[in-house]
Order: sequence, then C-alpha cells, then structure tokens
Amino acid sequence: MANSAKAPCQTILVVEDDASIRMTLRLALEMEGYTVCTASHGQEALTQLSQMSAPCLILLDLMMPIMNGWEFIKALRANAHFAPIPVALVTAYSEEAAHFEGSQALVKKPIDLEILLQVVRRFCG
Amino acid sequence: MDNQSLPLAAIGLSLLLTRGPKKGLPILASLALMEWVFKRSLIEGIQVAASGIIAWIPFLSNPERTQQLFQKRRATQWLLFYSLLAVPLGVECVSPGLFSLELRVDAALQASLEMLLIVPIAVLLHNTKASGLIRSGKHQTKNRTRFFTLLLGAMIALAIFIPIPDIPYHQWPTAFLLFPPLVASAMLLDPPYHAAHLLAVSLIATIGNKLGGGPFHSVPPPFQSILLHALLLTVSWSTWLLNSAENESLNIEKNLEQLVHSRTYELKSSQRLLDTVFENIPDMIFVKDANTLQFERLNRAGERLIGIPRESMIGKSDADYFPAEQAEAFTLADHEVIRTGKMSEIEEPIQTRNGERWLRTKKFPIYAADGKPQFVIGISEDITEKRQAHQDRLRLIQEEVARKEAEKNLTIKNEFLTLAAHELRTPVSALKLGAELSLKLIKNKAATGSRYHELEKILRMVQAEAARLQRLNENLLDVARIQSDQFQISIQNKVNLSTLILGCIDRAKALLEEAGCTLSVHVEPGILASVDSDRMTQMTLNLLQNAAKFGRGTPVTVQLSSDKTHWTLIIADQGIGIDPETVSHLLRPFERRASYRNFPGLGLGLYINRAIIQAHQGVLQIESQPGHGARFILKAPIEIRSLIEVA
Repeated sequence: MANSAKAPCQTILVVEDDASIRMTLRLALEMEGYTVCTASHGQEALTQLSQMSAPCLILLDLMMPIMNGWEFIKALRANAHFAPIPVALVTAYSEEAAHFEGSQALVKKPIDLEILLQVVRRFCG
Repeated sequence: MDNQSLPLAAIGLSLLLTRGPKKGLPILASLALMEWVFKRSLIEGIQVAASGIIAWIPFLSNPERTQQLFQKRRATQWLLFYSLLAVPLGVECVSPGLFSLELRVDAALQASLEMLLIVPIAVLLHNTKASGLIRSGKHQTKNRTRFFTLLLGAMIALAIFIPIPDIPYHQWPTAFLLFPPLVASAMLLDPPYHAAHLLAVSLIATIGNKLGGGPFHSVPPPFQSILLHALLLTVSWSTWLLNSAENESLNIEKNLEQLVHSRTYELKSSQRLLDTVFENIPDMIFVKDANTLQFERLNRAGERLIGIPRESMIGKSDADYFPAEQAEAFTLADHEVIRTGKMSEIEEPIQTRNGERWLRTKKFPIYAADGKPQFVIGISEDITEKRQAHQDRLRLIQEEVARKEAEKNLTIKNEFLTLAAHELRTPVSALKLGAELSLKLIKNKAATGSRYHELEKILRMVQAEAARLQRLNENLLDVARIQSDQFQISIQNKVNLSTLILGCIDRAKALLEEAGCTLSVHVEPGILASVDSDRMTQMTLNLLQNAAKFGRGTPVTVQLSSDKTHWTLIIADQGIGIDPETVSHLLRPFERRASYRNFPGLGLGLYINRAIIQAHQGVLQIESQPGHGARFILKAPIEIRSLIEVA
C-alpha cells in the first residue's frame, strides 16, 4: 500500500444519497489510503461530524432528501467548530454550484476519478 | 232727402260694416256731403246717414252673417240683400213723413223694382261664359271681349239717355229695364276697364241729360244731377262689390291653388328627400309585400350588393334570385317576422353575383291601418370585411395563446430535459466511477485477494445502475408513448393479484426498511384479476418507492381487497402529503409535487401509473393533506373482456 503511507490518518466525509456512488467513492478513496466516513444526507452528516474528529475534506452532493447540500453548508458554516472544514461539491448542478458561496472546490458529475483525486489531494495532501 | 238716395246710403253703410270704417266711412261721408251741397241742407245729409243705419238694423245684430253674405256670391243671397234695401222704402210708403221726406209712392215702388231687377240679372250675366272668358281666356280673346263689353255698355247708355222723341226710352220703367244689362256689362270688366266703362256711361248720361234725354230730364235741375250721380254710383258700387267678392273668391281660389301647388312642391321635395336618403343609405334596404313576399323596393346599396339590376328584381321574390335552400330560409324568416310582429336580427351568408357576402339583417313588419301586415322591411349591413377582420383577430389571439402555451410547454419540457439529464447523470456517474475503479484494481493488484471482493461489489453496483438506467429509459419511453397515444398493455386473465402485490412488497422491503418505514400489509388472498402483470408490478413498485421517498420514517400501509366486480389497492404513507392544488398538477407529466433538491426523481411515476390503471379500465384516486401523508387508491374491474389501448 504505497499510497497509504503518503497520507496517514487523513479522514474524508462523503455526503451522498445515492448508495452506488457512495460506495464507489468510499472504495476509491480507501484505495488511495484515506479514511472515509459516509452519510446519506445533510442531517446524518452533521450527526457524523459531531461524533468524529474534524475531517480534512467534505465531499458533498447537493440534491439529497431530508437535508440537501445547500442547507447542510449553511448549517456547517454557522457552527464555529465545523466552519473551517473545506467542502468540495460533487454535483451535476455545476451552474448553480458555481455561484454557491461556502464551498472550496467543485467536482462535476459524472465523476472523473482522476479529477476527484486531484481535488482530494489538494486538501488532504 | 229723396228715396233715390236710400240705396246709396245702404251700400255705404254695408261697406262700413263689412269692409271696416276705412272704406265705409268716406263713402258715407261723401254721400252726406253731396246731399248737403246739392240741397243746401245739413239735416238732409244727416238723414241720409240715419236712413242707411235704419236700413241695416237687421244686419247690425249679426255682423258675421253680413260678412258671409259678401263673401259668398250666391244669387239668392244677393237677392235677399237688395230686397232688404226696399224695406225702408216700404216703410216710407206705409207711414209717410217718418223721415220727413216728400215721398211719392210711385218713386218708392220704382226704386224697389229697380233693385229687384238689377241684381238677379246682373248675377246671372255675371256667371256667363263671357266673364269666364275675360278672367281665364287667352290674351287676344280677352281684349276682344273687353272691347265688345265696353261697346255694349256705351250703346245701352246711349239707348237710355239719347233723346229720340219717337221712342219713349226716357220714361222711368222702360229706362230702368236697361240698367241691369248696363250693370252686368260693367261687372264683366276688371278694374281699369271698369273705370273706362263708368266714364263712358257717365259722359253719355250727362250729355244725354243735358240734351233732354233719359229718365231724369223732367226732374228739377238740382235733383236731376243728384239722381244721375246716384244712378252712376249705384252701378259703380254694385259692380265694385260684386267684383271684389268675385276677386276675393278668385283670390281664395288662387291662394288655394298656390297652397296646393306649394304643398305639392313640399310633398315632392320631402318625397325627394326621403328618396335621396333611402337611395344613399350605405346598407341594403329592401321592402317586400307582406302577402306575396315580392320585392317592392330596393335601394342602390342593395342593388350593388346583390349585383342584379333592381328593375328586374321588383315584383320578384327570393326564390327567383337565391339558391332554393337559402330562399326558403329567407321566406321562413319573413313569415316569422310577420307572425310575431317582432324585429328579427340575423347574421348569415348570402350568395350574390359578386360571391358570398355575410350580412347582418334586421327584419320587421309594417302594418296597414286595418292591422293587416303590409310590408316586410329589411335592413342588411354587409359585415363580410368586419367579420373577416374579427375572425383574423380571433385567429391571431388563438395563435398567440397557442404560441404561449407552446412556449410554456417548451419551458416545462426544457426543465424536464434538464432534470432528466441530471437524473441520468447519477447512474452514469456511478457506472463510470465503477468502471474506472475496476480497471484501477485490475491494473494495480489484479483482481485477487482482498480486492477481489471489492471488485465483485463494484460490478454488482454497475449491474444495478445499468438496470436503473434501463428503468429510467423505460419510463421516458412510456411517457412518449402515452403522449403520442401509443401506450399499450397486454392483459392476462386470472392473474393472481394477491401474490403479485406480495411479491412487489418483498422487492421493496429493503428500500422501505432503509427509509425507516414500518410496513403494515393487509392483502386479501387469492384475488384473480385481468391485469398486465408487468405493468401492475411496475405501478405497485413505483407507489411503494414513492411511499419510501416521501413518507420516510413513517408507517406505510398496503391494502388489497375486492368485491364481486372490482379490486382495490391502497398504498398509504404518513409523510409530507400533498396540498390539494398540487394534486391536480400531479397527474400531468413533468410536474412534481416536491422540491427536486430534496426529492430527486423525474416525477413521471404518477403520470405513468394513471395511464396504466386507466388501461385497466380503472381509476387512480389520491387523498391527501399537506403534512398528513397521502393515500393512493387504485380501483379496477376484476374482469376485462377486451384488450384495451389507452392514451
């Protein structure tokens, strides 16, 4: 596992309602040696955050049930503990997301694995 | 005063009464003056006036009647008038000395006789052909008659006054017989000739009297002159009166003629005005006989409109000019108008020589004085252009509405396309990721050991996502089929619906559990129905997925029951529910009940579901309140005899 040595103990939170994508992302990131936590919507993600140490990056889908990505970012930035965590949007809604303040990066769907990993590496080393 | 002056006084007074003081007084005064001058006696003069007044007492009481006498030229009335002149003379005869007159009975009788003779003869002559000739004849004839009349007058005067010893013309009775023709001849003439006539007669009388001829030569000189003048005056005034009465009646006639003429002119000009108006009104006006329904009149606009010369239309009916069906309709409308007496207004096309024209026609009947219908009047406005313009405008509006509708539809469909693209992107994204990841795995470590399990996981995911894509694709195709009326189902008889539904619940169980929905199932066993089992499964799964999506975390109920004829499937959640307004939108394609941000999906499910249940000859009912969940009730007949195609 050559990659795991490069970035030990770096945690990434994946917030994505689609189970397939969630699973694939988890696999892909784990293969790169990252620790991955997942949530299927914003509410669940907030709960996860309060129970773990701050991740180096949140990969956030926008359209989700219960609490969508927009609402989640708003809640995230409102919380002093979570506010500094960088967020990368993973969405098909590129136009809307481009105008959305509060995120640090954008990965368009359909996801290109290399682009995703580049973004992840930028924030997590 | 002598009796000869009495008629003069009477005439003077009658003038005073009938013509007013302006004409009557001077004459009366001149008579009184004359008496005074010739008799050197003022009393005599006053007596003339007084005797005249007494003679006219009967008329004083009724001046209007007197006036009428002078206005009508009936011989009997004139006779009456002059007979009355004799009354004071008669009074003198019966009681001499009443007026202090030296009256001789024979003179009084002579005076009465004179008047009684003069007037009727004068009037008779007056009405002869000669007078008519003078008044209305040709110029040449008129002058000749005037000349002969003058000559006749002169000859009569000569006969009276020229002393021919052997012939006793100068005696009273004989002389007086000649006076009436003298008067009558004067009466035939109009004023200037009348004056000439009098001049001639008075010259002849004066000369004749001087020479010792005529009836007055034996009278003492002053009376001679008075009598002569009195005679001339009598002749003069009698003719003047008759002529003036005649003129008056002539004037009346003339006025009447003028009146008739001017009225005729007025009538003509008002008729002309009406004609002009009738002719120039820009709408067609026609007048039909109420009984025969033939054209009586048609104005120029009508002639131009129909394109047939109106001379040929008058006296003809609709059937002669219009197609039989149309003519019949016109005739029916005419009868209706006559029957009800009410105005009718109708818009209709007519066939003219100039092509089809649209008319707005008002029809109404006109009744004669006896209440019977006389005419049917029609006023038709040519609204062809107006109507065309109106229709153009309507079409423009319709086009505009259609365009807006199309734009709206386009917008909705564009939005839908965006959604669809996005919805497709998610599985595609998963597929792509899965493929890349798999390749990476194979490349790095080969599919061995611990990674082998991961690879299998990924490939299963890929398989599932491919299935999802297929489903989405199917849904889109279904919508396209429904929209183009090509949605078909294939019904199988006696399908065990209960088993089918339970199978669906089994398949959705994992999803519902993941969504935190507790499931309660009441399925009546052994319901055999005519259904398309694939479509039925598709619909039930979709509703269960909906329940999981929108009723997340709430209890979900599935209930299948049947009666003799129908089966009923109820799937209820207690989720966010739908507000009533949205319910109506729900069953249209591309419209969704929830925010896409929270509830991804294409929103085609209910639309397809409705098409499916309708294809089963059933109904889809939605009962819901916002915040209190939703109940979807499907009801369809157990047995369907024929294969149904449904849009």
